Amino acid sequence: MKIFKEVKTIDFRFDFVSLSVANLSFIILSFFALNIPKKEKGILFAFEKKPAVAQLPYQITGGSARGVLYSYERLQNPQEEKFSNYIRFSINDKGEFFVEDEPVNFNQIVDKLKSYFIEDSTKSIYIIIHQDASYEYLIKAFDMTIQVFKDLKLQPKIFIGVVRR
Amino acid sequence: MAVRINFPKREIPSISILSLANLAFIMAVFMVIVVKVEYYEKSKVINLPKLNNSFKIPTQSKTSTILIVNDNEIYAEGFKIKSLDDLSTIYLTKSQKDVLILIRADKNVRVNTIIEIMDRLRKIGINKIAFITGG
Repeated sequence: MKIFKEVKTIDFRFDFVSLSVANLSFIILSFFALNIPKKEKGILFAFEKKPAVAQLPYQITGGSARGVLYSYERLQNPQEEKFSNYIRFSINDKGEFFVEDEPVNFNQIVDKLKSYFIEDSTKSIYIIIHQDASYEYLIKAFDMTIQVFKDLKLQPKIFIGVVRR
Repeated sequence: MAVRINFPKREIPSISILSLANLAFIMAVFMVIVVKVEYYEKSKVINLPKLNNSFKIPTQSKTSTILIVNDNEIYAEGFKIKSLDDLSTIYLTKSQKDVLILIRADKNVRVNTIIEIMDRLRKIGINKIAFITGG
């Protein structure tokens, strides 16, 4: 009878301790599992506090490209902006692309943009996108712009604008 | 002659507070997991836009993901936000301003939504943003 009691007591304590340890392990593992940083791919932008041009408030760096991001409020009338010497690369709400206001076939955009930059490498690029266009088109525009920069080994500025109608 | 009877000593009944603490911990973790699972389920649903010229986003200690499932369903720090003003509340603290914001957005989200979010973040002093892509 005495032996039985002792064994029971030891079992109980062992269970209790192991339960606590298991709980604690579970909590620690859950914490780490939920916070494991993933290796992501994409485009990185960093707003710079110092403006590139006097009138332009925000400068960004994106991948190999540098550019200026306008605030939403300022983009409502992009024609009024006081900068020049840029190539207009526009996307409307239907996902149609235009270079210098001329419609361009999707497969020919990179070559078309390249031809403008070969003509004058000091030019900047101004991506103008309609507010109702999908995010996918903005990413495509970045993709093609970065491709042009990579091929020509240039680092021109990128201006991004959203047209509100 | 008095008879002395030795009664066995009774143990004082008690409730272990440790078990209560354990239970509270488990419930808290469970709640966090439920919220996170919902968030991860949503992150699986979205179609990230593909990018041929993507860059590896450098890993840094302070990152926070904004998940945009559609124009009306936006998650920040794993929690669904009711309006874009909530972003200011979440990221306004000084420690959050150095954070790198990862924007995971469905490819069909309107550009307007993305730009508005970027504008809000910039206004509260966050200057590092990354678009996460599928390619």
